[in-house]
Amino acid sequence: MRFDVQHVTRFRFEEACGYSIHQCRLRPRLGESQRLLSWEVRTPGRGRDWTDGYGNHVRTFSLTEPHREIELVARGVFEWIEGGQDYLVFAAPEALPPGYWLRNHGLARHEASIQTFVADLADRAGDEKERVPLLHVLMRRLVEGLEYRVGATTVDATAAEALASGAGVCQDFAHLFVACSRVLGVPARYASGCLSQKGATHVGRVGHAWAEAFVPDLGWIGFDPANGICATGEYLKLGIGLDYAEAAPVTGRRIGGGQAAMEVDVQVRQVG
Amino acid sequence: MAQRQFFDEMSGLGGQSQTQGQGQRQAQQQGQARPPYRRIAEWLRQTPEEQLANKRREAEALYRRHGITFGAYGSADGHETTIPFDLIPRVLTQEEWRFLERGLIQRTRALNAFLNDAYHQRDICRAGKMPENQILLNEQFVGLAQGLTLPGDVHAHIAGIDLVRVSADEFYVLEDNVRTPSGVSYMLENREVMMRLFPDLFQRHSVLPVGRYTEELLNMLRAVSFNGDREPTVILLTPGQYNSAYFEHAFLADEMGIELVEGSDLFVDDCRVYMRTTRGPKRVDVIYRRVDDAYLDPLAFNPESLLGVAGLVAAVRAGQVNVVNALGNGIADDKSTYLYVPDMVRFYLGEEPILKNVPTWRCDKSDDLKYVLEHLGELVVKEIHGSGGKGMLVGPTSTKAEIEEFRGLLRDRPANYIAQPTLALSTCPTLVERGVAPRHVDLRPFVLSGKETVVMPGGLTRVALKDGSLVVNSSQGGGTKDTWVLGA
Amino acid sequence: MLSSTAKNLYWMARYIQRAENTARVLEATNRMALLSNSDREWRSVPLIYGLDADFAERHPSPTMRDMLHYLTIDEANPSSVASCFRAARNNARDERNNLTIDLWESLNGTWLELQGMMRGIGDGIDFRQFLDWTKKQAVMATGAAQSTLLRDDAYNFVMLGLQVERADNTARILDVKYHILLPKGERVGGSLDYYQWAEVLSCIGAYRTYRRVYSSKIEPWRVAELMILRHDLPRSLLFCLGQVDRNLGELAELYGARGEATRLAGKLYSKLRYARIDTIFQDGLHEYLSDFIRGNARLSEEISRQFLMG
Repeated sequence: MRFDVQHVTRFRFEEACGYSIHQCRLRPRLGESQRLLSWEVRTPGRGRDWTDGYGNHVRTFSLTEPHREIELVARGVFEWIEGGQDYLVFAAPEALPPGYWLRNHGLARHEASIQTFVADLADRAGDEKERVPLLHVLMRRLVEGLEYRVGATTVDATAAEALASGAGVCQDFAHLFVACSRVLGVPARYASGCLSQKGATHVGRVGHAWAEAFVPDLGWIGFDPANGICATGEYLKLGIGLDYAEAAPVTGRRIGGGQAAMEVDVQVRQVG
Repeated sequence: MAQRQFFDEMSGLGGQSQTQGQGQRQAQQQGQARPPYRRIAEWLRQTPEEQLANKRREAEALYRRHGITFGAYGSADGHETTIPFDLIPRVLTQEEWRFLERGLIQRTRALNAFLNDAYHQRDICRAGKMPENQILLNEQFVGLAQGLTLPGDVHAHIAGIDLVRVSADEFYVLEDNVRTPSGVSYMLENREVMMRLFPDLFQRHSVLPVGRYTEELLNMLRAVSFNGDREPTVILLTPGQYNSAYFEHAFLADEMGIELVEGSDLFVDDCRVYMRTTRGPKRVDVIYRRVDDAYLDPLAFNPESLLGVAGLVAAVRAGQVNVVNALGNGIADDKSTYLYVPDMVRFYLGEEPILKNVPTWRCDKSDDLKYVLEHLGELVVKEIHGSGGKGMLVGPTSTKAEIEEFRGLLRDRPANYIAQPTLALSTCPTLVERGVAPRHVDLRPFVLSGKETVVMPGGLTRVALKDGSLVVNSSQGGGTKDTWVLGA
Repeated sequence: MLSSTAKNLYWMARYIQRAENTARVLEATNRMALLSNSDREWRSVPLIYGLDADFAERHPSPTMRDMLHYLTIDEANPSSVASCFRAARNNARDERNNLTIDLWESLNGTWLELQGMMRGIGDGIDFRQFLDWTKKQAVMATGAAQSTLLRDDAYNFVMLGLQVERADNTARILDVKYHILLPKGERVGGSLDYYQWAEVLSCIGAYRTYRRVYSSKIEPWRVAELMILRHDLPRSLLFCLGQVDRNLGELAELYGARGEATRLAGKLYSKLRYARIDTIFQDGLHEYLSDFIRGNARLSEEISRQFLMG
């Protein structure tokens, strides 16, 4: 299967902005059965590529002349060589051992309410052979317990806040899954990327987010709790982190410019 | 509280050391001082009290004139306080210093090797000397710094190692400070003031100079630039004048002749750091930062921070600017990692540690916790991530209520605490309200690591001015003394 | 030098100068009020600073004391003497390491004293005394700057702030006062009250200078000539712009680059150098001064852009 990806982010400022700096994670991190046929990232201003502590490919670029608009485009074609598995293993060399991904951090931090939410699963969590079924139980619990609703939460909602509100978008599902896994002692992390809208029901036009959990002997497996399925080779991963903030596709800071409007348009089409 | 014996630096009395023999007891009877203090003792006997009081006032005036202040620098009414300075120097012999110097250099080299390893392969964990979670789950571990290779593999460029002495030949490391250790400006100013007030004392002693520190510091900073092809531009980044150590930031920048900047003076373009000057943007190569990790870059850490520079971490990772001390050093100096430092020395250097650690109980271990709870009245309990003498219980000098409060804290979050025996910190004669009396002291020498590792002879001696107090931190009413290392 | 340092120094000087200027204007206005039973003079003062709307909003039926209070110790007014001293002191505090002890102590002392006064006064303030004190403090601070600062680029920025603010102030006083004192239709040189023109001169401390220079009765067009074109009067537009031009020239030489600010200052200065008072009046004094105020403000913006923002 081949997919054509167009990932466009646009900022418009109300007034001319004298300086802005942006950081983007828009270069794919491939799974075992994925291959990149072409890929390019276009950003304005001056920038450089670097690799963060997790192995994400980051570009930081800045504009120092007055500007009112910024456009970032990532585009290319990737291929999934379908295998026998119903889920995709992300088996690239890891910068940090699984233990790191137990850190209780940021938007994915776990609090008492999350411990209560999975208290009954704690017994099973000790058994490593039970891990995959356990994670599926957890995913089902999220699918049943949380309603997918755009606008139910804000971009800086924590896992506990999403749980309390009973609804959220893919980011909230992912945060909650990550937080629950960590409570159960399963290393887990946030993944951001994109996915064809045909591939699943709940995929925003602004990109997608899911979770990855570590299973000994298998490696990192993607769980997409917003859709209740495991990530397959149709999922193109752009960044990982302890939470959204660390994996966000685009973040930035600016001086001046007044109000800003951000527009993200992600299109993934199957082309073969 | 039981009567305790303390080693007095001048008389040599007290302490539990074997060397405290017959001779020293005789010395006490004759009112004699240990050899390094003999001339100081003589001077104290000969100098009338009111003359000392005058000199003390003079010293205070000098400190104010130089603007050497602490804490309340930006206080609303524009008034500032100075850290009390004690006129009587703390003296170390050449021999004592040689020993300490070797130990300090050894310890700092091990800490640097550890930091480099912790952010790369973590061989020390593979070798079974330290659990990997001690690093990975440490609050201070910065995931973004994993794999970051720095010039010379140096992470702890400036280390302040706190030492205490309990007898003539026993020193302990109380804690390592490898984030943004402060206090070196007092070491330098104390010497300046002493030389002005008592030139004759310096004539009677051969005291090793410390004034080269800022030059060594600048040399080190210049040596750790990523951009070897350029004449490096070095700056000092301060959180601003409301920071309690602002005076020190201004002092060091001034002494080194480098710009003292705040986050808003800097910007990142093309993953390079520039400062805004009246001549236009000027590229920066090395940043001596006195801003904590969490505030350094709103794009990487605390997004609300106004103290840092957006894109700074990108610039570091892209190898365009070096930050001193490095990111994520907190994993090496928190009180739970402290336990492993002797093993670091053995593992990385293949040497036996010269300086000893204070025996320490980890409250996250149930046996240790049990012991600690049973002996709270005798122990010092410290928060693992605490600093500045806060969040700490000194059993022997605490009230029942304070002890009970800590018992609760320990039961709630044992992993947050360690405990140590209450050390018999040595005393040093100190000018108090009425005459001269012994007061407890510690010592913070400063170790610089660039191309090589060097220590200035001496350091900052902190003194607990309250009678009987063992807390020397300036935020808790401690003062400072000039520290002399005698020449041959 | 860091741009933020230059910015603090520039604004410190402007604020010190603004406090002094305000005190001078109020002093003259105060004196005038003793002689005249018209309230036109004091009512016009907020207008000088473009604060007439804000003042009217805060004081719908104002008294002269309201006006004095508003411009001296009212901290809600960012242009009051108290606010200026506070701002100057805060700018100085940020740059303590770049100032001499004399200058810092002078500004910090002023601020501490001011705080003491504000706590003590309530309604019973003696405005004459306060204005006197203000002038003295500002002159002391300016003096400390001039007699102790190293003559490097930092000094240039202090001088730029001082002169730009002075020029602005002189132009505004002349503009508003001329307008008030010379109602529409009245011919220049008409029979206007001697005291009123003396007041205008006092606003910039130039009454005696006028006497010495012209040794004639006070005539409005000569007052204007003195305030605009006199080359040796420290608050005339020509003098101030000459200083601005010189300081920018020194910076251009030091930095090896000339920018828009340098060019603009040169233009404003030459325009003044070759101006004649009769042509100024022919083309309209108000237009001329409005033009100057706008040009001077643009100059300040260009100085900011070129040096103070990096």
